[in-house]
Amino acid sequence: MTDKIRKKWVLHFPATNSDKPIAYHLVKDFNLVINILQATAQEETDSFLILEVIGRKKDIEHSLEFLRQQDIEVEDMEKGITLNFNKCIHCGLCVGLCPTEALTIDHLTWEVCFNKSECVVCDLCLKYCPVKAIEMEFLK
Amino acid sequence: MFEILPCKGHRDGVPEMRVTYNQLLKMVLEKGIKETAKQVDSVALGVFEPLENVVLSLNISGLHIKPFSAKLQNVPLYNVSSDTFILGSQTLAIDDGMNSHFPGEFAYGGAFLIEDLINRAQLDLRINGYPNDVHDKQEVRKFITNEDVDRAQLTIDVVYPQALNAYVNSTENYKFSENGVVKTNFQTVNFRSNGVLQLIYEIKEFVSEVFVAGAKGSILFGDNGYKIVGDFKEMDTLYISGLSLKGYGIYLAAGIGIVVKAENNQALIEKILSNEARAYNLFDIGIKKDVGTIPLAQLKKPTVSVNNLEVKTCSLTSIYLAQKISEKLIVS
Repeated sequence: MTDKIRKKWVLHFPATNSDKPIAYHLVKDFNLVINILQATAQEETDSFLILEVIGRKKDIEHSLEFLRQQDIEVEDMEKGITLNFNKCIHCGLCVGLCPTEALTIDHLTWEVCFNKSECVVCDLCLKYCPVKAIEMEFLK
Repeated sequence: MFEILPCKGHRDGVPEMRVTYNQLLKMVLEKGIKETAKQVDSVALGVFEPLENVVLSLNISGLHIKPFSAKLQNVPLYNVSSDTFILGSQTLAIDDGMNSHFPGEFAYGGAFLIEDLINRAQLDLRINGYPNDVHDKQEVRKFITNEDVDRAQLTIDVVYPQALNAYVNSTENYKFSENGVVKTNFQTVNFRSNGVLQLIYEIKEFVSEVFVAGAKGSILFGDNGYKIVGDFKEMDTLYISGLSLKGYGIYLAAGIGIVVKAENNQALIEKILSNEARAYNLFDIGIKKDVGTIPLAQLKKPTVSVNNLEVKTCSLTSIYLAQKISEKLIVS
């Protein structure tokens, strides 16, 4: 298992550019796993595609460049992690797993603290929290 | 500056000085061990971590059946008499997929059932029995709650001495263990005990009070371990929690607190403080090989050095809740 990133994107296509096989290129050229969550295609107005993509950080960065070259506007669909303190037992497993400093332990009180601004939504804590105290929220 | 703590009881008209483990560490740093031993009457120690060997015995009368098999919420119970059943905290629900899709979720089992019982959830009891001259029913199926249980006891069996392990992983694949998920290439060192359960045995002569998951407990010491027993009906879910360790199994984490009498006993205070130096086996779970030992005090830090690499510590023991339990014992 390698460390892969999961992202959720809203792709806005200009009306003139809605016939390109974008999903194909993301999979084939950038090794991304994609999951199409919603799609609209309209001739007269801009079309959009909501995608969940999973891939290595570098591949995701390259695919973003590619999409911009195609005049496709990419918007990060914000999803956030929340820590449910009613369930959390403050064991600290998530703190060690967290690749950033979003989850930390206060070494005075030994309480687990969550700093949302540092979170890259890698989902590691969500997957492995033994009491399912980490929850995902979609903000858009 | 060390504060005068809420105290409990009196000794010759002077309020008893009872401190928590963390307060004891601070006090020794400030005042030295001699002065601390003079002032402290008792120490409250707490544990909140995944436990081995936990069984719940449930006595449910009025079933009118001689059982040969039973399950509650699809978790098998072991019937030891016509109305008493034993539930193991790590027993899985019979429809659990285990690791057939690796790593398995281990979503439900004994530990979660224990939590549900305390929460007074409605639980599906199914018993198959055989007819005899006393009981004529061959099958019982009913919903029960904690109210329908006449008597229940939670028993925690602690083995001493027990090797405490901290895992690292030198391979390219995540490893799933009783200490939680161990990240690749020495990214994490995982441990799951604060050592206090072992310490309790080492200072067994001085144990005066036992708290188990919100209830008053009793403790029985043997030659190679001890049992803590508590009245399940008095337990509180604040101090008990089912854990799903992905790819490994189910554990019950419960809060245990003990009070030790430490009047003028410098040797005892030294013994309690030595818990910080307790050595954990550092084991590479990827290649199944010991790579050394590491003291608890190091594991409590955010990172440790292993093979000249800075490795993040990952714990399953809640020092926060252990501290809360010992604080409860100094004021209650």
